[in-house]
Amino acid sequence: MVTTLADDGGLTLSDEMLAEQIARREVSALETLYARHGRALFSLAAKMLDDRHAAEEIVQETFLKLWQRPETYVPARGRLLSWLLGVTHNRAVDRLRRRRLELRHNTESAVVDLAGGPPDPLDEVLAGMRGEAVARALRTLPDAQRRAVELAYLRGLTHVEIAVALGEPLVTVKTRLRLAMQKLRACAEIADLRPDQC
Amino acid sequence: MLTHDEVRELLPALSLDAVDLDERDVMEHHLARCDACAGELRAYQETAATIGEGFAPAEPPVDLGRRILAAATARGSSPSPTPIRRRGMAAGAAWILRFVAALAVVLAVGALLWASSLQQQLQAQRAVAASNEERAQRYDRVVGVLQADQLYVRPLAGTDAAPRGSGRVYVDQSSGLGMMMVTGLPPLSEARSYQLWVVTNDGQRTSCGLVRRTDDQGNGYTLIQAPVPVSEWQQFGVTEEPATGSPGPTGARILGGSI
Repeated sequence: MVTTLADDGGLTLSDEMLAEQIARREVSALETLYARHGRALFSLAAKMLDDRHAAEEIVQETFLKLWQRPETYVPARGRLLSWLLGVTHNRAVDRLRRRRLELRHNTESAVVDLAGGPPDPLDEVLAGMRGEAVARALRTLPDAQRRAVELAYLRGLTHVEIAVALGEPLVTVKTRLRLAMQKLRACAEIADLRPDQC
Repeated sequence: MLTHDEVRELLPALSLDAVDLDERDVMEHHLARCDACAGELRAYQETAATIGEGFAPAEPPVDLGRRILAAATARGSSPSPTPIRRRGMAAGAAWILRFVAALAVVLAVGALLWASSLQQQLQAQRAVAASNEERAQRYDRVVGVLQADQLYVRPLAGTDAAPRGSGRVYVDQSSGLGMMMVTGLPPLSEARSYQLWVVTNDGQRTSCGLVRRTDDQGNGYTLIQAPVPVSEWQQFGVTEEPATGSPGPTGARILGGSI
């Protein structure tokens, strides 16, 4: 039996159940999944690329990857939404890096403003964040750690590029990224525990 | 070639897609053979995804979903394309009549149920609010530790008694306040707990805190107060002990780590 969006609006099916249906080539499951998460993926890609058209392409590529190679998502390894966001992020980073390469080839100046852009997009994340614990942790990261995460996650810079952009030693940048992610991870994991856990 | 420890140090950067392509290739080669690093990377990737979920929503074009479905089906990957159920024009009128009749019944019953459900919702929301307040207080305590400028972080690895177990110890070196997180530990009975010990340079084992409960994945944490300065620490250990803890370790060593 095929479950369609019209049948249950996708409300009764978990993401992982939808992934199973997609693996069985049920188009309606893909439709439901897009209705559920398409906006989140588009928001991330649009924020990273500042280009709606490119964001549309990446969202399409992400859903089609799941459709064409459903075996690449393994439920035991994490949430489907995390996987979708990871694919979207990875593809957006690829585009950002290609853009920078083209910019280097097309500009007479050898210097590209790696760290340019809005002053602090993470503020926007904090304002709308669903993961309360991670939002709190992001707020309290030292500025240098928060800046390193922003340049890596939102601008798609490698740690070498971050070191160049900030004029700091590579080892310092690596340490900041590691410390920041350890803190965020700790908060995310604690948030996942049941309220009666501690 | 990167060593295990070097790969482990780079996992947070990899989860942010912040490593070079060459590094990524080497790391993926290692990850394919190292379950511990692969598991740790997945945890960092979940964290990175939490950041990605947080942006203010931007509305995609209204036809993007339709285009994705069209591309999926056009690529011939569906042997028997599954249409979204549509009804023909001839059946439409009868279907609408049945729908209107059913809707009238549903509305009548719904109105009766609505009032009682509102009361239940109010009670449920009060409970959620109280739970959220309690969680917020716990997060504040944890964040207080994590925002320390001199945060000291060390991993704990499972022993033969808990091969799937692992954990981390976080300590603010200036205040000695910290926490321990564990995962993959065997389930605890009500009468037992996991106790963290720090071994100092003189061989003394001193209790730092107790994990009294874990969830069904063996996850748990506890806030700790370092009994002696971090500079004097040599090793950590976690043992299973009675629920209220022991003055010295008596149970099997479950997790361990060195400085």
